[in-house]
Amino acid sequence: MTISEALEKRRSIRNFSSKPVSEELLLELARAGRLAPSASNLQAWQFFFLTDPELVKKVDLFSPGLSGHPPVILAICSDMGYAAVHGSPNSERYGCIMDAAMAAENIMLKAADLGLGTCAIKSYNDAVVRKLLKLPENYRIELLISLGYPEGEPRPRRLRPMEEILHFNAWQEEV
Amino acid sequence: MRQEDYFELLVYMITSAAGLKGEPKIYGPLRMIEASERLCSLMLKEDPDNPDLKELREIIETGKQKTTSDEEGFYQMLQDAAAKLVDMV
Repeated sequence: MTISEALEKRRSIRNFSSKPVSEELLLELARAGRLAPSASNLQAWQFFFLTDPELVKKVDLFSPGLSGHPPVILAICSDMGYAAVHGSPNSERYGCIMDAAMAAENIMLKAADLGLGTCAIKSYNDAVVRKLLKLPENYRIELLISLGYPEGEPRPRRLRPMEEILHFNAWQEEV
Repeated sequence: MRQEDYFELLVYMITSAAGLKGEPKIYGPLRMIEASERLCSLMLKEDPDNPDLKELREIIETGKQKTTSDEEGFYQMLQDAAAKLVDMV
């Protein structure tokens, strides 16, 4: 699959089959994630693939934004202690979030290539997920991604018209 | 009904309430109608052949998918779901 095909194929998937995802495929996703650009090449990201059904069920339960009972949940975190030592104040403000988002897109495109479905979410209870994952205090959860084999068709794609979002050179008031 | 079923709904409602601060405005009605759908599903466990409950769940299930693609359609579904309740009182 070409990158262009993966871009078209990737959709937010909210229904998953119960078919398990092999560890080999999850490792491929992790490799794709760590190839993402990183501000100041900091790479403070930490990838937690939740595969234990009991743990997945609990995180799912406390995440109103998660749909479709995915067999795997990926939590992308930032090690803010590492960022404080090796990065800058901007790493904490936006660099780590930017890195996590770019890694997430890499992972979601790779997942599409592998026939997997994904959906990135921020609607989870941070305190609960931290507790369930036994995260060190200096780890920050940036986002969760549900992962699994898609079931059914995704919702229709809604894109804002190109003319509303595209500019060449300086901004110009509409005539 | 199993206590666990109630508990899962309780968890959904409380975590939704806890998370709504800062979320898009439409997520408020979305979480409430999702909780309603889950309650409807629990009622269907006790009364699996109830046609009104089935229809209500179908209305919600179809309409909630419009949350981020067709806001007007989503709000219309809320009205339709409310109107459906008239058949059940």
